[in-house]
Amino acid sequence: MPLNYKSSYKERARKRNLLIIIGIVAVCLIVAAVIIFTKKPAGGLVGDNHSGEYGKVIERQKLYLYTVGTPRVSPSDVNREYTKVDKQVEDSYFDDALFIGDSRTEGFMLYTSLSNIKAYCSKGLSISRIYEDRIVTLEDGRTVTVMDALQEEKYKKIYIMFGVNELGWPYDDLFIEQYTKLLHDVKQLEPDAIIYVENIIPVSAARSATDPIYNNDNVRHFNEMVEQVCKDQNVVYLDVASALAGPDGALPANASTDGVHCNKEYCEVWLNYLKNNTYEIN
Amino acid sequence: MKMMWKKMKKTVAAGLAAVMVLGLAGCGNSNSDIDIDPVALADDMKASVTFQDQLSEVELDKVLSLYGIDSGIVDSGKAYLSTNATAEEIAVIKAKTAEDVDTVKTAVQNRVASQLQSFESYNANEVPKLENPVIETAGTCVILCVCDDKGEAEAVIDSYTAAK
Repeated sequence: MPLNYKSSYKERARKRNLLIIIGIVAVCLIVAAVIIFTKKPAGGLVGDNHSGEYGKVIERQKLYLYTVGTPRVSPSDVNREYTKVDKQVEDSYFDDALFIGDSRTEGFMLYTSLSNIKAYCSKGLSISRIYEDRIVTLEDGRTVTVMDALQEEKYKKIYIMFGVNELGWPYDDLFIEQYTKLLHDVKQLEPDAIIYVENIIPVSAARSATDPIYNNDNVRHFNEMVEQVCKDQNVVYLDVASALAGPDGALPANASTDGVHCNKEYCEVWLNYLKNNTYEIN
Repeated sequence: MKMMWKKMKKTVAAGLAAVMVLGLAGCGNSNSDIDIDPVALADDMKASVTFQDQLSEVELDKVLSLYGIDSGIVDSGKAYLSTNATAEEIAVIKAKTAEDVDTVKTAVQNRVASQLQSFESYNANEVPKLENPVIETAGTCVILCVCDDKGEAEAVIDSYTAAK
């Protein structure tokens, strides 16, 4: 069978030209893709003009997701206004109140003369553990977290005190984010309740002088953050610390065994402050 | 003579039996028939036992709620609780009936177990007291004392149970 050299040459040339065209098209597509996906938006949005703020927002969102897990929402009651009641309330004021807190609130619940007091509290409870620790036993016998219990029971007043177990937290942002989240969630679950946040009671002077964490400089610093969170969340901030502190700003030595937990006498002082500092929603 | 010996044996046997019955009855008194004043016992333990913390009386209803005890099965009682600086605690709870004693005792044991779980992470120094608490029953009373020196508490309790 004779070879057809002319025909074979033409076929090879056609294939070569096709490959060249395909190569050129591929190069053009790659170049176009690089231009499209690397082009900065006109005007240089967040990445340029606000790079600092943008970076912070991302960081805070990551922190928030880590600690909280749900998006932050502006409080729906931002326009709520409060008026201070200018008289001491009776014990019955607390009939529809709930106290939430740690071992200090637990002591308050047991030691005060209030017989109608209801509290969700536990030793070591904090603004993060409140979402995890099952410390509330419901009437049907189930043991649930405070947040789960709030979904089932409604109150008119909620008193919250946290902070002493958080004094060792190294990041202010974390404390602010978590406390903000807590207040926001409580407001969502208890829309009809007036939310009182009690600030952190100082420790004794002796404890303050020797403890790198439980000292009153730290308490004051954390209370500044608590107050700011209360303003941002538009809830009532109660300066319980001022009622329990002595002239030196510390918890009096005779008020506590360990310089942290109030005895019965000072729990009554604490209650007296609460009874003289109630508010109404306008 | 033989008849007299038989009569003597019967008399001695009857006497021994009576002594045994009375003895057993006496033993029963030390457990279930003792009637202790729970308030007095709690006060005496507060006064006689050494505590590190300032213990204060807490309303009985609050304590029963804390312990998970139905107040309907309780006759009376008294409790002193710590400030939470320590786990120290006194509770003397008198059940209404002997049948309710076990329920009260179980609740008291659960309270100690719960406190132990809390203090293990919260203040480990208190763990030894909670691992070795005084929990006794006398009559229809259930007695709890969490303290450093069990012997002090037991001595007070003995002074109540031995006197009856």
